[in-house]
Amino acid sequence: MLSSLFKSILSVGCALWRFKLQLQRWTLFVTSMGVTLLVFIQVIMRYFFDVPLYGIEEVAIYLAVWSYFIGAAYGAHQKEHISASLVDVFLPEGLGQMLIGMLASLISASVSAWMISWSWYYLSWTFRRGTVSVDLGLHMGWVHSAIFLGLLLMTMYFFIDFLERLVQIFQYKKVSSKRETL
Amino acid sequence: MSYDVILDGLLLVTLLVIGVPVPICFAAAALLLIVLGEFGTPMFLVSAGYSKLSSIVLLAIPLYILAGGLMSHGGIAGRLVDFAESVAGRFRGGMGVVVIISTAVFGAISGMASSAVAAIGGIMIPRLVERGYDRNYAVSLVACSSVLALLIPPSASMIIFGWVTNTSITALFLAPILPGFLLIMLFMFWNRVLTRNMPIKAPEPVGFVDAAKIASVKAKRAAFGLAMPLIILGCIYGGVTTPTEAAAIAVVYAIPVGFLIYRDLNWKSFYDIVWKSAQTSGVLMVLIFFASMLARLFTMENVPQEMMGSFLAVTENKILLLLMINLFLVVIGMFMDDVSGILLVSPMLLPIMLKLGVDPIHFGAIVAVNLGMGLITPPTAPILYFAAMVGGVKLGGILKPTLVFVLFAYLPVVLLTTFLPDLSMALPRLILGLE
Repeated sequence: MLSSLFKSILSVGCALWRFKLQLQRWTLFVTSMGVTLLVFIQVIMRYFFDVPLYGIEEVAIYLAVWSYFIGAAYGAHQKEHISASLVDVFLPEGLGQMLIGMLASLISASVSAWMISWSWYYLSWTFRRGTVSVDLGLHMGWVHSAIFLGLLLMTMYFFIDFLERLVQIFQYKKVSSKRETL
Repeated sequence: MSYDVILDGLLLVTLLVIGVPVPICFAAAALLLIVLGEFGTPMFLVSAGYSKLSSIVLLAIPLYILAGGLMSHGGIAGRLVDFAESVAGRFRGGMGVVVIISTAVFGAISGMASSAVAAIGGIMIPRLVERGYDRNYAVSLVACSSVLALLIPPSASMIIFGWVTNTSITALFLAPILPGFLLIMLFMFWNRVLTRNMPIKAPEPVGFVDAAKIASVKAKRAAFGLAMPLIILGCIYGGVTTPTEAAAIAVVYAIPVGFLIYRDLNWKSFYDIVWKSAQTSGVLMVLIFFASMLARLFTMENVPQEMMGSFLAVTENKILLLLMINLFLVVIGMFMDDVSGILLVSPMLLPIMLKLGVDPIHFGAIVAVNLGMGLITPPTAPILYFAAMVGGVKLGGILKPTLVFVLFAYLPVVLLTTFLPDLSMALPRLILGLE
């Protein structure tokens, strides 16, 4: 009974996880195409009809900000963030490399989590002051929430990476101790 | 320099070395300065990062990445290689020249050294080996040539440099072109020298008329890809559009070319390319976001002025100072990718360069060639590692030819770019009429 409940919760969790990733990819697609079309429309309006559309660049930038932070979060999920590690150069493959990798992902998750608190202060300040955009008067909370959400997702992915590395280290230790007993 | 800043620098280097992602290294360095310093609430930092990020100039980067992604998907790399091979492949050592030209042109289309390695390397390394070239040499040649992507416009590095230092991007696109061409010439020369003892098989002899016919057919097949950088540059230098608008035009151009002319795109691949390009841009932009936060704190701590003081305390001789700055840039390039390097050092070094009477446009070209050289200079050399992976060889094997290219092609170009301002200033003066 309990195991089937656990299985159902797990399958719902997995489905939600996949849906979240799909939603991120869709957000990236829609915002990127939106930015392209808006800038292109502005070129057409400005150079062919001599009637630049007011505020179009503002919307393009706001869509881009969403794309940047959701994209950066997806990059954390795909482990595609730029790094300049020298560990692989100076340390042989094995436990040492794994431990340093785990430390790096723990630091990444912690710093990123700290940045969430900063972005939350910034977002709440935007809401308190009711800041609006210059051209179109859009509430800036719509834009600044992208920073908060992006960092939240990024922290989650870095933390999952940390857990995965932790598990790998335990498995590595188990395998090594088994080899030693044999 | 205050102890806080020195400690911060040490933290930054340590985190980079142990493999913490670069944006997080910048964020951690900003965090430490906030904790140690007396800056009050950190909200102004998020605001600084956001205001820098929400720039119409920077919007050019995701658009160029998307245009490059759409154009470089599928067959464009193969078409470019076929065209270059039809022109240069008939001569001894000509396949090496094909690699150099193809990676330079592909770099101009895709704007990224790593995608040039993957696309051109994937095609050319097996072909070179088949023709009798040493595999290690082939991999090294692909890696070293791919860095030309940084120098041939439109280059993301130059957009970021222009944005950081408030310099004209239109002029910055032009500045590294001549150093890039010089590099191409030197690569061709060293390719000839290094391949003279290799058992290279000569291609089947073809008459001049037949060769011209083949080249013209291949040129037609590659024409739409080759046209993209020309359209972008034509729009910008024809005074029609800004670099950001030209990038949007490039994306809109690439979509029908991919779907209707090259037929490499379908809805699934189009969707994947768009979101993957957005992910690549996001990774770069969040790096810029955190670097802007750190740069604001460094400015408040007077780091650029103190850096200038430290350099001037060693010597006031312009030549020695420029050599020191070159060395500093190469070392930064050895440990960091070009974007992180530009974000970190350009604002710090700009005051020194201005004091030495170096034009910011000239400085842009110096930064591009130096950081480019860093990308293929060990120990980190990310492009070299990637090329070794693509070519299926060990890093040790490709070091010897790479060192020849670095010492006898890159280094002379770095020095000429630094000490011969006309090399980088001639085109901006000629085309834009700068003083």
